[in-house]
Amino acid sequence: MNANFEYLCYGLMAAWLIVALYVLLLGLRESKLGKELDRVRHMVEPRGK
Amino acid sequence: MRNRILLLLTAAFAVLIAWNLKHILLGLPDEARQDAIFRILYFHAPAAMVGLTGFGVGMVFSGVYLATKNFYWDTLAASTTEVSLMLAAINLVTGSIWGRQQWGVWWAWDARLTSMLVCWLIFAGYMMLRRAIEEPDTRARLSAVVSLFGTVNAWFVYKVIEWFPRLQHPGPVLSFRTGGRIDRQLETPFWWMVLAYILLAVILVMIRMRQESVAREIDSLRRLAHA
Repeated sequence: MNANFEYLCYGLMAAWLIVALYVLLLGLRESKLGKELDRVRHMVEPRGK
Repeated sequence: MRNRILLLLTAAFAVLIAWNLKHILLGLPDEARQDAIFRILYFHAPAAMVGLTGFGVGMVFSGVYLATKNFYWDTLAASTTEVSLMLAAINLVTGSIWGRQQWGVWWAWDARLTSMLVCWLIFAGYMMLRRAIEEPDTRARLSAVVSLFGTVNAWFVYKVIEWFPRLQHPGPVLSFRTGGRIDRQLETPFWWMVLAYILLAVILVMIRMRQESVAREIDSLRRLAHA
């Protein structure tokens, strides 16, 4: 394979990997926040009744 | 409504990036001196353009917060800066890979590369500062100051290739800075990639904003629970 093309592939992979890692981070944060929201809602609910 | 807009923007981004990738990888001829590797330009430079602009936009949002004391603007500033930091990372990494192939080294300490790295470090510090300070108003005010310093540096990154023409980093190539030294066939896809990166940035900022509103709801419920 042409070395030039090989480095192009590395560049594209790196760019998409950074986006993918950031999206993964957002996903993890979203699920953590969802769980926390449920937990705090359960804490508050008995007081509301 | 917000979810529907998010879905629409994501679909538009997917179509645009698929079309761009096909055109850039299969439709464009190789560049005479650089061969295939020049295509990294379509990922490297738009990431910098949108990222550096995002830092400036974040600073403006911080300024609006300082003027209005509305935390919505501080949250928007932090979300915009975080996404811009990710784009700046793409710029640094793809640039390094291009440099390894073209110059034979992963990194050169010239003014362009170094100022971009410093810019990235300043905004990484901005994100760490936000995590370290609990009190919301202090956090927002100090973040605005760091954002101002970082944005001045971002402006330096943009202008440095004009101020120091003998850098290792190539000089400006786009027609709005050179008066048209790049072939239109090569430049048009570049602007489509800029649009794709803008869409990506808007989508990610919207997701971050949604998360921040959930975090605020958690905070207010916690206060209610402890009242």
